[in-house]
Amino acid sequence: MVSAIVKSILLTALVTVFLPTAYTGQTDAGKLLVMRHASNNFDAAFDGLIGGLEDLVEVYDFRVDSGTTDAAVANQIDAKQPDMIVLMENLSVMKYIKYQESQPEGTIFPPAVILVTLYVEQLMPSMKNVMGISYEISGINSLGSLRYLVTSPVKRVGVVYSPYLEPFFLDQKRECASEEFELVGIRLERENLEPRAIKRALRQLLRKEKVDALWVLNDNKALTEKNITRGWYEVLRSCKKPILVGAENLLELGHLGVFPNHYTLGELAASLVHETYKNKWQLPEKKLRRPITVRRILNMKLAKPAKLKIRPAALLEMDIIVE
Amino acid sequence: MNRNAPGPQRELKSTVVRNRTPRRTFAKILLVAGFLLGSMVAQGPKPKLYVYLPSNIRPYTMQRQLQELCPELHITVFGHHREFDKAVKASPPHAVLVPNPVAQRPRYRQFEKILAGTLEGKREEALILVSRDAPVNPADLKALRIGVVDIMGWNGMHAMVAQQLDIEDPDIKPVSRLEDLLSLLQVREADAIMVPQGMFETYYRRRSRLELFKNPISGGATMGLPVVAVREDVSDVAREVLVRTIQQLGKEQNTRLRVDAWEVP
Repeated sequence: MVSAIVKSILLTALVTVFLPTAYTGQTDAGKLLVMRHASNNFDAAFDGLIGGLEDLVEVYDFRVDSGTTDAAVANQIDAKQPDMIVLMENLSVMKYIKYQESQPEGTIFPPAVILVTLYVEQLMPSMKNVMGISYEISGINSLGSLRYLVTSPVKRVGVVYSPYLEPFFLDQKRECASEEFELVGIRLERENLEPRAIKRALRQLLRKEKVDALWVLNDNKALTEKNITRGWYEVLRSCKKPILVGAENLLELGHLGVFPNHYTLGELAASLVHETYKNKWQLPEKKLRRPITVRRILNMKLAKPAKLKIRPAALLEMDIIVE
Repeated sequence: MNRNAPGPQRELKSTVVRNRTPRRTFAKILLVAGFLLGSMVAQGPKPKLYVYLPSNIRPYTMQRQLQELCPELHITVFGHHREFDKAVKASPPHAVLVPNPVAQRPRYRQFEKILAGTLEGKREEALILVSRDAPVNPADLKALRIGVVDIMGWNGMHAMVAQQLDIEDPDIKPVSRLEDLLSLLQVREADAIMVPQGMFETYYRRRSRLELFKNPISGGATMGLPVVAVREDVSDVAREVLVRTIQQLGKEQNTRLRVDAWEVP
């Protein structure tokens, strides 16, 4: 019985790892290898990619999980000789980084594009011949949505962030200035990533800096469960200023959530494949692209008690309204 | 049947009496159902209309609004051209309401236009390029990254922009919604966006604090306004319902569809 189960698991693993699904396409145009997590978390992004490719290339869907060996990744790439690779989610990226590191000096890697991966710009410098699509929505895009949603002015926007997000924050601050948003940031000290420091920073932004709104970044380090319940939540639950959140699991903290639309992230990756193909499989010059289409969720359960004045026309542009 | 019969007969009779009411009800239901069915056959089912129009209004919101205004139709609104294409193929509707360039695609040749949307008396609207920080130099058009709303897929849009701008192999940045075009400029993923002229002041200038420039396209590029097209085999009754229902849409709803009237082509 046990041996039958083991055999079945091995067979499944073999099918998953060594026999990627091939999708129809013009084989003469090229081959695209998609490395993605074996879970189906980002199927919408994969569907967007396939739809956007419009049969340009033959696509091999290579599912990986934590058990996928380095040799299996190398075998797959050697066997398929892809013209381009799409890496979806952190695990695939980590596996591919290890693959690149294991290859001899001077190896020429096919162009690759990374998507649905957090803070991709921090991973890219350690990789060769890659470009990325950010998973984080630009502040200029999200804050534009917030400014249109509420009738109160949204100009000075407070942000509390962990030290590792400083480069992201500074980029956003610079970019947002062109739309007349002034980002006021408080960087948490590494040793102070605890609820008390978060509460102090938020109160400083609201009382001393007199910000018009708050933006809660998708910040893994500052958003631990303990920090959320004992830090963020304690200040934000009574906050009367509009709060923008950048991750779906933070919606209980904010009034407006602006998140990536996975299907269109896949389409964006497809358009990069089109561009790269057109360019004889050379990646475009600009190596980091931004997600453009977003999903907006309005949390009326918090917006009503905070007495935010909402523009009726803006409600028509919400993907979901949580009543 | 003898009512005074003993034992089992009474039992039997009793059973019959108990079942008389449901039988009568069943007969009534049959009668009503027959009447309704007859009436449906006479009138035909509600014409099924699929709507695909790039807009900032979310599809389910537009669907709810349109369905309330057009109770004689069965309306489904799509937010993406691929969903629309798939649905038309899988379950063809009686009619579609789409931008004219979509209705002209070969895959929709079985649909025949019965209504054309107009804006200030015209069936098409002028397109312009909007840039930020500086006007577009016409000599640089080929080098520009042009943002467009994707209504036909990468290949279709590539061909359409090439024709509109009269350049070979344009560098296009397709997006799904009108609002996304502004985001392209904001994050500098495009150098210019191609939009209907009428939206420059009413939408882009209102939503943004960027210094935006309006650049006419030489040769006067235009885009066909929405049309309603029916499948060739759709009955005259259904066509009449569709024409009447769409033509009676009010100003507010028409504005959301970017037309001010509907005329028979």
